[in-house]
Amino acid sequence: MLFRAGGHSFAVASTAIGTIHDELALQEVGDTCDWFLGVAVANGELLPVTDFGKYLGLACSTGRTLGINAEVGLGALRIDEVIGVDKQPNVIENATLPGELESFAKLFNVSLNTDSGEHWVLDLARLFQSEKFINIGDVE
Amino acid sequence: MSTVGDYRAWLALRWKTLSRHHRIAFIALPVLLVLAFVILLRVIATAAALDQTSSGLEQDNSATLVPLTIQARLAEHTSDVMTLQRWLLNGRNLEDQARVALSMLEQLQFIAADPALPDAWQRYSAELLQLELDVQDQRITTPEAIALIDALRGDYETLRERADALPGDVQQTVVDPAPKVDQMFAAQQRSLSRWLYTLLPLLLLSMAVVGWLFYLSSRPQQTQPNPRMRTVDSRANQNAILQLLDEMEPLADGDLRVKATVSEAMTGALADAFNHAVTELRWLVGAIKGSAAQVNESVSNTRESANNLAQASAVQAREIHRSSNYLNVMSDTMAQLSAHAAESSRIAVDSVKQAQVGTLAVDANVKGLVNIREQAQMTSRLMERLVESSDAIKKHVNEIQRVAKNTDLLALNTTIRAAAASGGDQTTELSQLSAEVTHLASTLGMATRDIGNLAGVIQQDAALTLTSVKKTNRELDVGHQKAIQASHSLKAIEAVSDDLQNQINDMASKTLRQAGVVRQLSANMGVINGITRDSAVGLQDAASDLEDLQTMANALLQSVSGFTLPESEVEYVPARTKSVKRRLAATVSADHHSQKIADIDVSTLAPRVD
Repeated sequence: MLFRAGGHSFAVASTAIGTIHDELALQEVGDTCDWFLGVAVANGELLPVTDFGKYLGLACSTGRTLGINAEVGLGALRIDEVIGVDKQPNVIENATLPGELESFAKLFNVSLNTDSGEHWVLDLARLFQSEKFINIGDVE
Repeated sequence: MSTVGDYRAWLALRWKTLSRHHRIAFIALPVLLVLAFVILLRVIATAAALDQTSSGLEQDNSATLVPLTIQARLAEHTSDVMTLQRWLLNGRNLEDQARVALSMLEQLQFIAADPALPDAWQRYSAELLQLELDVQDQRITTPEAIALIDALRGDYETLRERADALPGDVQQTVVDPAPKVDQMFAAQQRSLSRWLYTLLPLLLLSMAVVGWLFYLSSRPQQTQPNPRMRTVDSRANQNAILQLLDEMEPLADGDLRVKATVSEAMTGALADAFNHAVTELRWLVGAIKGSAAQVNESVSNTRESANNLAQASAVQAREIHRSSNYLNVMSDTMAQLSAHAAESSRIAVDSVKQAQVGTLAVDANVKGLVNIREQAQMTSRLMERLVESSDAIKKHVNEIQRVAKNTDLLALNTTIRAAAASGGDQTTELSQLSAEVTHLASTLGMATRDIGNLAGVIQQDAALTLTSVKKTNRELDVGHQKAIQASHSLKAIEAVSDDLQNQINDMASKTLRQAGVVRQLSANMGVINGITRDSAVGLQDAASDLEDLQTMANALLQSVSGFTLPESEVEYVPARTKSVKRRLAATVSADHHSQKIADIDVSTLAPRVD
């Protein structure tokens, strides 16, 4: 599935996505990082919602929310726009990660070339397991 | 001397051969013939002069010149007194002075009616003296009035001097000169007739006496008187004849003071007859001298008056000619004014037509503006509906976008679910179906987004158009009001132009009529000018005739100057003759001028008011 956040295009496996939410009633949580938007109840489950664009140090995301499959992890990512699903994307060999994303190079290993452009494939499992993502408390 | 002596000797011899009767006859006959011849010459000359005088006076109207002169001067004097009265009234002097001037006017009327009235002159002089006293007492302070009073005094002295200088009978002639001249001619004729009636029997008597003497001398002597007695008688008769001849000798030199001695001698009857003839001749010569002197004086005065009148007529003719020229210029100017007025009337008609055309055009514009305003209002309503429809479309598009968004979300979730169910196989039917739905939702979302954008543009354009149409409506309302005002103004201009055209037409018509009146006036002035010129020429001819008459009177006076009259001769008394004929001639002359004056169209002299 292709989506856009923080001015960049990304891609994740469709199976890693549980539900795409249009609007969620967020409940803010105090003393947390600014990219952590809060928690929301979706389909009877409590989901922590993260602003993916801001998490990457980019612009805030204002679009839909991607509910992550529970098998991958518990959480949801606020993005700007869901572009769609590309059934047969082409992998770009030796693609160069933009400088803005170099600090998150571990999250992006492969780049796909689709009709809508180049997309960096996000490794959701590694994201959910990363220390920064888990530590939502305000470090300051 | 010898010839004279021979002649005397021959005459004495012949004289001795004649009888006594023949001697008396030869003495008396030449004397009678000479006397009769002289008297006859005087009678013929007097008759011819009187006849020429009569014809000359009949040809001109000189008898009216003296009163005309005084009348003309009095008319000017009257005008001056009227001017004085007006000045006194307007000069804020006392009303008494104005009444004095009015009394002067009345006195002038009396003087004009009869210039010989001494009472009127005296009263006028007293009134004038009163005004002069007012000037001295400074009751009259107006400089013009004071100057005019001085001028009136001078004119009055001149007129009074002229009137006083005329003898009483001439003054009577001034009043009515024809009877005076008639009396002069009647006296001449009566004296001539009386003299002829006296002379004719005397001549017949003398002829009878001479004939009787010739008869006595030719008759044979029946009785022879005593020679001594006959010698004594012959000597006495001879002495009587010689005495008669001596007494009558100065008569040959024109001395009419001679008087023959009437005695018992045979020449006593002759002497008495001679005395009577000399007396009549003396009276006749005296009458001729007196008449010639009076005629000379009257002709001199009349000729002066005729010359003055001729000069006045020339001045009058010149002024009339100048006035006629002014009237011609005025007529031409009024004709030009009439032409300009006609042109102005035509322009006014064009203005009325243009105003009518303008009114129709403005009315058409008003109707067009009304239609445009109705169309604009309709457009405004349509635009409002378009805005409303666009708003509704936008709402529906939003709804569709919301549905498309949900559909897209649903399709995405379905795709994710299908992928999860198929274990990542993207080729399952469910995955394809969800992909199709996602695509349709995406397409629908883009279409509705485009429709929404278009609806927004339409709504914005409709709002702008609606604002513009409303503004246009307001401007149309203002234009409509202005067009209605313009229509009213054009109708007012049309009415004013119509009135102006009528006024100009009326003015052109009146100006044209007045130009005709002025032309008629100019023609009448020409007739009056002709009359004045004829009068001037007639006056000049009359003056010339009077000069001839004066020359003849002088010649008549010169012809009788050789006669010597006694100191206390009887004054000449003129008689009245030929008055009817002269008055008839004057009437014919007056009718001639009256006919010329009748040629004038008097109706044109009065101002016409339309």
